[in-house]
Amino acid sequence: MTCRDARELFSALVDDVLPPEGRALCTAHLASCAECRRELDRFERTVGVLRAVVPVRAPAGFVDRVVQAAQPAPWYQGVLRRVFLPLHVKIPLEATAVVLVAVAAVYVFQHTPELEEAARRSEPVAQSPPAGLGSSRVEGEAAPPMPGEKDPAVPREAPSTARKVEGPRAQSEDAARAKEAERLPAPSPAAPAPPAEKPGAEAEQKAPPPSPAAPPVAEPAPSLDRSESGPAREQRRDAAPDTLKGSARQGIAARSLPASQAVGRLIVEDPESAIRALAALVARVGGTEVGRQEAGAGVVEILVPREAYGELTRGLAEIGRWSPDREPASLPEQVRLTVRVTR
Amino acid sequence: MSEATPGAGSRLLERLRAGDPVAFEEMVAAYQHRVFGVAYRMMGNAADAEDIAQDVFLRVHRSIGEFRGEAKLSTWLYTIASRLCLNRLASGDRRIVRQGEEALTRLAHDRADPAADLEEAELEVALHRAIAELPEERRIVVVLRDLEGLSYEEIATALDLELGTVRSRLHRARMDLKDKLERFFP
Repeated sequence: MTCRDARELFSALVDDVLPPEGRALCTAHLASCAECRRELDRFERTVGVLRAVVPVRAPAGFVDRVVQAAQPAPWYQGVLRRVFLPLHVKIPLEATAVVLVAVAAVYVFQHTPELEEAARRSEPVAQSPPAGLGSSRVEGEAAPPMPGEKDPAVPREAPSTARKVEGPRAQSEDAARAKEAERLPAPSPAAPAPPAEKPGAEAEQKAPPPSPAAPPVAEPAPSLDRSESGPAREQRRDAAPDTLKGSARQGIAARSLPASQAVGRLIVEDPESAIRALAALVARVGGTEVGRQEAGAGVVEILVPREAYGELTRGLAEIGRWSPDREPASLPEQVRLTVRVTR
Repeated sequence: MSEATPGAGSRLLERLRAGDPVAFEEMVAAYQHRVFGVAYRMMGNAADAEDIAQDVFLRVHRSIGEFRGEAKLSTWLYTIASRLCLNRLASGDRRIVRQGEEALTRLAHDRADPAADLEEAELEVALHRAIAELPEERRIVVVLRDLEGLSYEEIATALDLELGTVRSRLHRARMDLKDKLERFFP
């Protein structure tokens, strides 16, 4: 056995795990090799120092900390941990998400008219009598406001000539309002519009006063819109008690209107000549023109006996393209017909 | 608490498996110093050692049901502690402490007259530094064998090594230490 071989057995020799034959060979070599005996002595002292090292003790309170950590965490701690940890990742992500949601909310709000309208509706609206509209004011006063309706207080600023040109959208709005006007209760004739508030309409009003036999006649509903400026219409629309728009709200407003009124559109190439032809037709069938809103394309209110109503509508179809928006199921003795003459 | 009596160890194990919190506390109290000692010798500082020791017990708490009882509970604890230490060392995620500083501090506090035992203190500091300078795979073997007193077989089980590998690494570690402490053993 060489010194190298003997020194390889030192650990096994010190730990007393060397087989008997190996121990005999190693012992024989050590007996004859002083250098290996010194090495073994150093080796044994090293192992002795190792085994004599004072054991390290866990710090005070270690058991309590471990037991505490082993307790199941409350549910909210788990939620908070999942939501916020790691902070350097989750916080920027969550801040970005909040900003994006806020931007999206503003975008949706700005691009959703219903929301804007609802927001405006929640703002207080000035309460003052309607002005600037003759018979439409009468209609507004006559019609009982819907619950929560602020409409009668909205001032009307624009003159009646504010809307001379009517596009398809305006026509549809007017048709809807014609339906509304059709169902309005007959307003009191004792509530005419102040002349100063609607000079244009007054100047153009050529129809004679209604006959005593005729029921009180109000200006047709479409004339409301013709004398209203855009903001005034908006405010009027805003005064509806719910968030409905357009026809839905108008339908609600029209529930209180009488059902004996017919409304329709007469689409012609030349409104002025059509109105003249309409006047001749009314005279021919024995009816009465009780109101006219505008000299050109406009609205004509007609009272016609029930038996002449069919002839009147046939004549209207000859003048232009007659499109009745609404006709009563059963005709009263005197049929009140609103004809909107448009191009 | 020790495993000197197999019956006590098996009863503790049964209580642990049953989720008895008192049994868990008893286990931590019984093995805290040994587990912490291994971690301390491997990591070289008390902060990392406490982190790892706590992690060892929490893992035992979570997975006591997976322990089949083929080895002693202490061997299982050493297995977990050794792996956590080696993983932490391999990842490089450890606090840097000058080797031996904590040992010197502890010696200065423990001994009434440090000057009187200067050589012994120097030897202990040199020993800790020499242990810390060992390659990790040798260090864990010598720690388990000479500081914690595990048998070759237990070390082989804990580290999942062949018995011959354990012997070889232990011998190399001891020889390294002998060479580094040679000036103390003229």
